[in-house]
Amino acid sequence: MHPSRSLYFLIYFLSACLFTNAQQRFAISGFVKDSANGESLIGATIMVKETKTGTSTNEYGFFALNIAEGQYTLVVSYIGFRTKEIKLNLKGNTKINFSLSDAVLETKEVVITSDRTDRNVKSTEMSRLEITGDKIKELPVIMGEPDVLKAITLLPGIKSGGEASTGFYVRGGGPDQNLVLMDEGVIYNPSHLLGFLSVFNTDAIRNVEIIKGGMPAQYGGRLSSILNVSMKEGNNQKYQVIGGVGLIASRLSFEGPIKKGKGSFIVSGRRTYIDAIVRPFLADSLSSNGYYFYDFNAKANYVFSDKDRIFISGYIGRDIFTFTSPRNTDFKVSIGWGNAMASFRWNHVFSNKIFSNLSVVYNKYDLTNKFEFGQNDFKVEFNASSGISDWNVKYDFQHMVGAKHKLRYGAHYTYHTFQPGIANGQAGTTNISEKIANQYAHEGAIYLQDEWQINNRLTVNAGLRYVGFNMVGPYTQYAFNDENIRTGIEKEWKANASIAFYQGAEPRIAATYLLNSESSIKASFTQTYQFLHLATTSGAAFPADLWIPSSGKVKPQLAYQAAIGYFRNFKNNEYESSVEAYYKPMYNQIEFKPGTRLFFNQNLESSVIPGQGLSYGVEFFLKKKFGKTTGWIGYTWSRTTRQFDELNNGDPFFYRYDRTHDISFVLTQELSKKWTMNFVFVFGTGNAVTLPTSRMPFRIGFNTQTGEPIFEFIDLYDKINDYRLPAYHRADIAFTYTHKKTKRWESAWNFSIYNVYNRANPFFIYFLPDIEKQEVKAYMVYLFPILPSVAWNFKFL
Amino acid sequence: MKRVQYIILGLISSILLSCEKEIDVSRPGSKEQLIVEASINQLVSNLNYVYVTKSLDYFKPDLTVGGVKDANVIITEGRISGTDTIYDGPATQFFNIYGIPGADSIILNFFNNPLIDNLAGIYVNPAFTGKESTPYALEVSLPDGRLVTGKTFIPKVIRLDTIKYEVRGEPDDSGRYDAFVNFYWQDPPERNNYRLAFIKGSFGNLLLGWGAAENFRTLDDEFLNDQYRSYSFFRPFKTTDTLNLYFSQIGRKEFLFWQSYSRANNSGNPFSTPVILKSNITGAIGTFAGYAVDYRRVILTK
Repeated sequence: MHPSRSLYFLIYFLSACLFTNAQQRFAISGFVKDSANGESLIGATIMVKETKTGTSTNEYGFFALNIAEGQYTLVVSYIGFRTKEIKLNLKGNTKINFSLSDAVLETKEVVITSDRTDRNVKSTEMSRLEITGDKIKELPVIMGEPDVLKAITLLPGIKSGGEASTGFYVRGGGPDQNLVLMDEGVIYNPSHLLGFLSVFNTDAIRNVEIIKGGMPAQYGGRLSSILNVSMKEGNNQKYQVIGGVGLIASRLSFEGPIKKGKGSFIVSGRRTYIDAIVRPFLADSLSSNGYYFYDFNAKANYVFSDKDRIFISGYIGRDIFTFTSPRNTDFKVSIGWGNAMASFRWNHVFSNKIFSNLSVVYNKYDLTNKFEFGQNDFKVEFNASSGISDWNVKYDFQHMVGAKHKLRYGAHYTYHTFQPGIANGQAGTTNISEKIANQYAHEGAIYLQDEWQINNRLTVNAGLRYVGFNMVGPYTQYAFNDENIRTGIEKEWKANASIAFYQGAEPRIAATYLLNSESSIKASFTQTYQFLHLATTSGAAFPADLWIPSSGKVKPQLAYQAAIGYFRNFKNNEYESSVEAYYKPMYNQIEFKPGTRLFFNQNLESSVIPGQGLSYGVEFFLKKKFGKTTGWIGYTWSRTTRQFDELNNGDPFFYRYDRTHDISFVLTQELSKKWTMNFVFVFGTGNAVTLPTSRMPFRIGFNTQTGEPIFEFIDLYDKINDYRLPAYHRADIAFTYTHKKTKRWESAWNFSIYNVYNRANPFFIYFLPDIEKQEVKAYMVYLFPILPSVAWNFKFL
Repeated sequence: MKRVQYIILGLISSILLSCEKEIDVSRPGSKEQLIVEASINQLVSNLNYVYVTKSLDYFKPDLTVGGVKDANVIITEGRISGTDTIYDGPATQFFNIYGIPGADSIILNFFNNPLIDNLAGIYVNPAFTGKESTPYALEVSLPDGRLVTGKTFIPKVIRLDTIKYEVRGEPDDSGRYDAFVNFYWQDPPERNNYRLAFIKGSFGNLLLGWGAAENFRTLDDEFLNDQYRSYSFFRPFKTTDTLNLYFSQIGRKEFLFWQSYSRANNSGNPFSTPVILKSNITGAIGTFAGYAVDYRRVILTK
């Protein structure tokens, strides 16, 4: 790490601030909200017509502008809402709050305003995409359950983990390299049903933003992406009930004002009923077995004054699996896993130019399992748990300095507790009580960035994030020999004693050069460190995968990413398009030695193999933003490899989710006032997998009763990921029928057909020998053939 | 834990309508590798053998297993002198089973089976008996010059203390009840590595190769050291069964091999990553393992 680099950036910031324009200027600031329910509008555009300058609202709906004294027309717009214009004679600092109205409700026809839609050309943001909760609900769904994570994999550069998987892979990064935030709380395992659905209940979701490159300085801790999920604030005008009924799960939310116009709340729940659906088809002896999950979201906010607002959010979600042997009811297994999160946030406007947010967040992921067998002296009972929890404090400031500088600065502190495993139980007369020592770490960051509009064409957003990570005691480290046996040598650290310390600077820079009012060239460079690592040895994310800290032996992951892009809008911003190329080397990537036991392994660090990764590619994106026909098409060409000295003879190999070609096409067509059609097509090069090359007969024996030999075949492997599964492609279609709205009731039916042309997409392949034909046959398992489903969504006011 | 997760995933996949179809997979040919499974012990002569064979191309299998018939197999006894291990004791040649005069009819049956015509890579010497607390060296040489070597140690025997069983439930159609079996032993203070095998039936100790065992487990005392321990069979046996238990002590390298073997054997699911076997021999994949065997037999009655 090179702390001295930070000096250059500090000099840059100081000079930027010193040379600001000294002309008499005033600030205009305020919030932009949805007039129907009081929800903050994120990314609404505030333009000054006369100067053709403007800004957009932040994640809390706040904006600030700094312009010279004079008469102006402010144009406030947000897609799907009526544009609002006001005349303003600016003679001093001014506060204005805007409430925008739904265009459809007001005009009885679809008139979508578009002024904000040139943000993709003019802003310095690149590699950033967003999608609303309502849009997600319109897309074709499987089993009637809309899903945030499946929706984002329809965006370029973001690849799905496979059939029906919520795992996502951004520009060659692993699933652990995505920072998943819900109202600023970290969600360590965003999947339910082992990846088939995500933990996000779309009824409780307002907006989803994903940043896959050009990461702003306020974010850090992961190499590849930030998935920022904002929960709804709740309707602060009237009470309403929102719900949905799907084939495997139902949702219900209740929201309303705490005090009209001042505060609101929302509580939202979701539960699957797979267990209830399957139970009638199970034998009586299996009827006590089940699998289900639930989510519960709650949020409240209150505006105390023009300057102060607080938010309290909470989430808890859990998967529960229970099994009792039909043959022996003494044999019981119960496993539960899930996330919990609670956050408190305080928005404070220090002045028209300074907006701040203080967040205090607790988040946790844990897995517990219980196993019982037998009775009395023959009883075996085993309880085990593992997990990770964090306390976070983040203070973030957004500061207008002069007309051309928007500063963002702040600090972030996290205290991590890693719980690799606790187990206790009884096996006959033997008592078991074991604990792998918890690990603790402080993680901190300070950051500063400036969006500097150098002239009408060139804007630079330069930032620096300085990070530190300190693994601390109490901790006892045991020394192991080559045979994985404790040598008896121990090293002990007392509470808060430093075990391993890492620090480094993360420069972030992005620039936009406007070619004309409809096109621009952008470039960005980011450096990121990641101090947390997901210990997994499987090709899929499992609940028992462990998060481990950077330590003496496990170095922090490091990535650089450079991207350049051309952005062009057409037809008054009705169409937007972009081409982005990126190059992303990654260092200190980790794998585990083949066959490593992750759970209850005191010597896990010694099984880590360090290596590196490389990803590069080009992403094409074309989107039609409004009109009766909307949608997008994205194409990505990319290559992703990994290299580990101890694997594959040290040769680079394709990452499992390397996907040379990736296409996604999403089309929404309004067929009539009541009917809307959504169509999705996806194509991706098959995953790279490792196949056995030979087999060995072993554990020889002879059955003296049958007179036949006995042996087992063990598969042997050579190259890693040198075989490609067949390509993945699929088309889905959905028709949404919206009933005529009344004052108190809205409802819509979603009829979906998943995999319209019944493509057999590979989930995995396996092999069986055909003894008669003396050959080995390959079989591909695929999950979903053509699959219709129906869901009903409603809103009761 | 992983296994439970695969069960859950399997259940979900089943619920979610998984289907399968045959596909063509084209792969380049594989490189042949020598495979050696060598077992010696101090108690059971049938478990002293060296099996020499070759790997098979995964996608072009000649399903008759190709045993290597013309190897020269020598096991040499060693001794420990201070911190050194010296292999200067008696050297015993193990013979290809074809070459042993008077091989009993069971063994002849073994080779008369047409399915295993080429399963001829087994080398034995009925005169060999291993000794407790003794090191051994293995040398397998082939006419083409290939050489396989390995070292092992037969540890001190740890004896089973007690075997208990509990009869429960209702009888099945043949009047037999479920019998749940526990056995107990005192684990010594040092690191111990166990390998457990059992075979049902009344054949006493006629366990002809470890593969003949109905099941086997590999366990150590990482978390339960130096205490009185129990082991429970989760699956019940039946009353009238005769249970033959082979409770063995093995060295650490041998334990690590069998542990990796066990994981490799369970890795054939779609989400597992390939397991590399931790061989303790050079020149081939496999193991040379010395077992300190304790044998017990129990007839389960109501």
